[in-house]
Parts: sequence; C-alpha cells; structure tokens
Amino acid sequence: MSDEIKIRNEINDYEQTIHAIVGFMNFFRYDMEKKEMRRDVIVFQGRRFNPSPGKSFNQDGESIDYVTPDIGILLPLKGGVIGEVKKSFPSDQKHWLKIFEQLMRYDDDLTGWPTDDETVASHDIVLILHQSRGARVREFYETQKGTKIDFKRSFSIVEFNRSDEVKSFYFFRKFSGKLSEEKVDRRLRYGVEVPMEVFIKIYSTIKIYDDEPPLPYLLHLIWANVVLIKAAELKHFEKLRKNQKMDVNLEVETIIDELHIGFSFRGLNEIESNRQPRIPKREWVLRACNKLVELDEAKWVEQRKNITIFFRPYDDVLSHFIKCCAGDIREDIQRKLFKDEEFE
Amino acid sequence: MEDQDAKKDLISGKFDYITPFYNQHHNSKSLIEGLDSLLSSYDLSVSCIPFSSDTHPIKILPRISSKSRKIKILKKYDGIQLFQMIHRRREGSETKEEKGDFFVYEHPEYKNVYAALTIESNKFFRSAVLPFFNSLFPHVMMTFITHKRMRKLLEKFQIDNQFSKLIINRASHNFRLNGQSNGNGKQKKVVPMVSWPKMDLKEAFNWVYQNNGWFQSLQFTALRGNSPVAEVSITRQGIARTNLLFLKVFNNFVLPVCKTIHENNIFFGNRSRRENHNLAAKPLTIDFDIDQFSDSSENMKFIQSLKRLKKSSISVLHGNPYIHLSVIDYFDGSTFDLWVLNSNQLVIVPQMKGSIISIKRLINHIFDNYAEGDIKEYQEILN
Repeated sequence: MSDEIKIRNEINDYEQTIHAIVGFMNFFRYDMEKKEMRRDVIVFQGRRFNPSPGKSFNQDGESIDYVTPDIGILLPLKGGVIGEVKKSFPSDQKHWLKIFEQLMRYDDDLTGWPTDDETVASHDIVLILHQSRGARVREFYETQKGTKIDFKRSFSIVEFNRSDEVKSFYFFRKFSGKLSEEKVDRRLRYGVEVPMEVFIKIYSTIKIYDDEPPLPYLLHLIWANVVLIKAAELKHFEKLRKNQKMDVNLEVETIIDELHIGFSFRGLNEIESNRQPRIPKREWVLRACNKLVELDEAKWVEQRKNITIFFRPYDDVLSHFIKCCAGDIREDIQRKLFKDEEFE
Repeated sequence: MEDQDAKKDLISGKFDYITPFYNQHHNSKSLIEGLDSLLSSYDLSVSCIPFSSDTHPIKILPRISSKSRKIKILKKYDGIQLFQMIHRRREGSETKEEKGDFFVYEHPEYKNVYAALTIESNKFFRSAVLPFFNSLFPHVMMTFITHKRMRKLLEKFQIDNQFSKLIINRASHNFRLNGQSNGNGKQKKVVPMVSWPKMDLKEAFNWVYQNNGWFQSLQFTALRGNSPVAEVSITRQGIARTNLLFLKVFNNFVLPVCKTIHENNIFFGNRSRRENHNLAAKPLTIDFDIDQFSDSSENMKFIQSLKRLKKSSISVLHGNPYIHLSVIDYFDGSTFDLWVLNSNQLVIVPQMKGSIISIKRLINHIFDNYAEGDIKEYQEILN
C-alpha cells in the first residue's frame, strides 16, 4: 500500500470516528416520539474530568489529574454516559488490556459534569468500537471479566460499521452489557442503521475532535478554512495566478480559534468551560505550521507566535498536502493509541 | 469608428429616429418602448444581457476600464444610464478602434438586478460588449437558465404571442458522448457542437434529448401563419437578441430571467456559516429527476467534471461509494462541502463563506458540465 493510500485511510478512519461519536450521541439526543432534538440532554466531547481521590494514581503510582473520554452525555435526572470510540484497535492483543484500563478509569465518581455540583448520580460506560474487531474484543472482555477487567458501573460494548449499500449508513449494535437508558438500550440491542444523510450538517461542521488528526488533513483544514479566508481579504487575491504566491500573516492563536469555533465539537455544545479542551490543540497546530515551514510554504515570525504563509491557489489542496507528507507517515500509530491525553 | 459609420449608413435616406432616441430623457418604460419602435423603422437588432451586481453599474463599469476598453457615462436618468464603450483591438500592425453605446436598465422592483441593452451591431456586441461583461466577474454575474426552463420560456413566448411556430435555425448545444477519447487517454465527456436543425421547438428539444445533449443557445424564427415576424436568439445565460418585437422578447425572456436572477439572489443569500447564528450550516440540494449516481462509475465522472471548474480547488475526501468533496473558489474565497449520499441528490454545504456569486458559479458549472437538476432547500432528515 502506498504512503498516500495509507494517509487517505488514516483520514477516513479519523472521519469515521467523528461520525461514530456524532451517531452514538444522537441516540440520546433525539426524541423518537416527538421527532425532535431533546434540549434536556447535553453532549460533549473530550471533556476533562477529575478522578476521585481513590483513583488519582495509576498502577505505577503516578498521579492522574484528569481523564478525558471521547463522549460525555448528561441526561435529565442527573444520569450520564461516558464513552470511548475506537475505530482502530491494535492488532496485538497485549495492548487491549490498556484500553480496558483506560475505560476502568471512567468507572469512578468523576467530577466535571456540567451540573451545579459537577457530579451525577450515576453513569454508564460504553466502549464503541469498529465491527471488524467486535467479536474478538468481546471474547477478550468475557475472558478477563471479573479478574483483570472489572466494572462497578454499567458497562456496554457497542459496535459500529459504515455500510455502503444503495445509501451509505452507519450501523450501531450493542452486543454486551446494558445501558441504563431503556429506550436506547432497546434500540441498540437489535442494531440500528443511521443513514449518513441524517448528519450532513454536523459532518460538515465538525471536522476535528480531541485526537490529533492526520497531518495532511489538518493542513488542509488550516489552508481551506483559515489561510484562504485571510488571503481572500487581501487586495491581490482575486488576480492571483496558479504559479504565483502571496504572503498571508497569521497568529497561531487565530488558527486555533478559527478551527475551534468553526469545526470542533464546540458546535454541539457552546457552553464555555475550562474543562472543555480547545481543539485543535496548540501543539498540533504548531506541528502543522512547522511542516509548512519545512516545505518552504511558510516562515515563522516573532518566535513562533505568528507565521507568514506563502499562499498558493492549489488545484487540490488535500492531495497536495498528502503528497508532501507521504514520506513521513507516523510510525508511532500504535504508541499514540495509548498516549494519555495532553492538555496545555 | 466602424460602428459609427454603419450607423450613418443605416439612417441615410431615412428620417433619423436614432439620434433623438439617444438624446431623449428616458425612463424604464420609454426605453423599452423606444427600442421596440426603433426595430420597426430600421434594420437593427437589440441585444440584451440581464445581470446582477452588488455594486451599482455607474460605479463599477467605468472603474474597470482598461487599455483595450474605455467606458464613459454619457447620461444618467432615473433607473436608466447610457454608457459609451471605446474598444481598441489589434489587427495585424494596426490598432482599430470601435465605439458603441449601451444602456443599463435597473429593474424597478428587484434590487441589484440590471439589463444591458444595445442596438449596436452584433459584431460589436460579440467582440466588445459581451466580453466586457464576462470580464467583470465576480463583480457582475449573469445567470443560468436550465434547459427545462428555457423550453418553458420558449413555449410561453409562442403561446402568449400566438405564433404558429418557432423554427430553430441555429443551435449551439452540448452532447455528452460517453466513452469517447480526446486523444490524451482521458474520456471526453461533453462535446460542444453547432447545428442548423430547421426544426420546430418540440422536434428540436426531442432531438437534443435523444442525443443526450442540451442547448446552450438557440436562434429561431417566430412565424405567424407561414410569415416570419422576428428573428430571435436566447442563450442559457439569459442573453437575448431580436430584430423585431422587442417588447414581447423583453417581457417573455428578459423580465423572467431578471426574476430568476432575483430569486437566486434571495435563495443563495445568507448561506455563509459566519452569517448564521451558532455558525450553523445552511445546505441546499440539487435534486435530479433520475438516479444520477446509481452507478458508482458516475462518481468519477462527476468528480472529473467538477475538477474542470476554473480557479478552484477540488479535494476528494471520499469518492466511492459516497462522495464527499471539499471545494474552494479562488475568485472570492468561498468554500463548500459537497456530498452525494443518495443516488438522486447532491448536497452543497456552504462553509464559513459561501457567497451568492460563488454558489451560482458552482451550480452553473455542474448544470453545464455534468447534469441539470432542481435546486432546493436541504430538508433535514431527523433519524
């Protein structure tokens, strides 16, 4: 498989993870009887929760300040759901326990819920994983259950898959455990097909979550949604030819802000909180800017606070950056899967 | 000064109605009626370009003057302006200069909608006026009428004015020829052609449908009984030309096209996410009569046709079985997400900036290079 295809697959995985997060949240947000979105359900992504004192240290004795699950759902009457989505699951089973250990850290009286006292009465924990690994992961879970893997709270495993029949849809099915929200549990028990067209608006506005996107994808987002907008305000933009370039000056903070406000999960829940990460993270954007500098497509200004980008009207921005990054595919995908979330 | 000489020839030996017509203090009504009566006195044609512009033509047209074209305002009336264009062109070692006038008619009801009207020769119109208006994009934009609508306008023109027949004399059209190679190994999809079908309206449209094509422009003779009463032409940009019955042509083609421009301005307006509360997306759809994307090979045809959009970036995030594209318009920095998740529908999601002019350009390109459909508001499907 060529590097370019690998990158495209990574981008596809990244997007599928976002789609899975959106799709799963929607089972709780959407009122099937009233046919409308519930206002009493709050969803959030990548929120920072503090563990209880008893779970503030890991097995190596290191302090754990916070955990950041992929999915958080606050239900009326102070119930909640915490979920983790795994589109890619490591092929080597020895890493799987770490994923369950991560999930067991959510099996705790977490503080940080968007309630007055930042707690909920109870919450479920859900692992949402791609169907391709579903059966083996369930087998692994069943084998380890009660020994190395132990949940006090309700724990479920939900599998998902994108299916491309006449219409493309995401299929979700719960195959282990029970969700406290009866209606959702019932729906997921036999599997639900969610047509992709249901989420066109959300898919078009949420393009990043709290896991670092593939570099060419992030570069494309920056180029198309920040650099271009700024370039279009400049006098010579309209007359810029294919072989010409123009300088576009940007603050790194502006890049982060524009993508955070326009393309992160903030769009589903605008309530500002210190617990909500500002996505994209600064270090991701710095890495992307560094890549542009390395490619001679930008230069740093004022000690990396600002950057001058040499804007060119590429015919296919994404393919351009995929080609540029094809030589340096990340080798640490496996390692990255288990890296603790970092916040500034 | 060729055109001026032609004008002199035209009025020689006749009572000169043209000079007083230009000198007359015009309003919208007198201009259109005046043009209509000029045609019955002289061997002239009126050419008309309906267009839209956010900036008033008085401000924008003279500003765009260049070495080859100079624009001067001659007269300003309420809702009507008269401009003069001096067009210089090289012919071998010589520089030739042509001079011609055109009116700009402000639609009395629709904001930002105008029509440029001229009785100058077709040569001057084709070589000077029309290229000038084309060069004003994106400040000035013409519209695009679908094949279906073009047919309806023609049928209505025939019925309203009790013409026995409209005979199509000349047609420029595109044929979609599947599987033909253009010599570079790439498939050539759309082939432009010109023909002289000499058919009536119904026959001509049936003929083009059967040949998997669509008309770009039509030149026809309107007949009453067996007598020709006017030679008219109409293009998909709404550009109309006639040698007689201008009032009827204006009412049946120009005004409906102005209405389309206005409706599109309203429909395509306020689509930018940054103009909406909560940065919400306001998608629109192109619904096709048939299952356009039922065959996955169609996806590639669509993507290739879109890649021919000038001054744009087309990035494929997903190409098969569903389509997800990211489109950048380098004219004004508009961006769009395009989705095909359903075999008879294309969804266009304007991003932070999705200007009216850019949405029009994108849709015109799709209609002209791929397939036509009905433009509709996206209906959110809740699961």
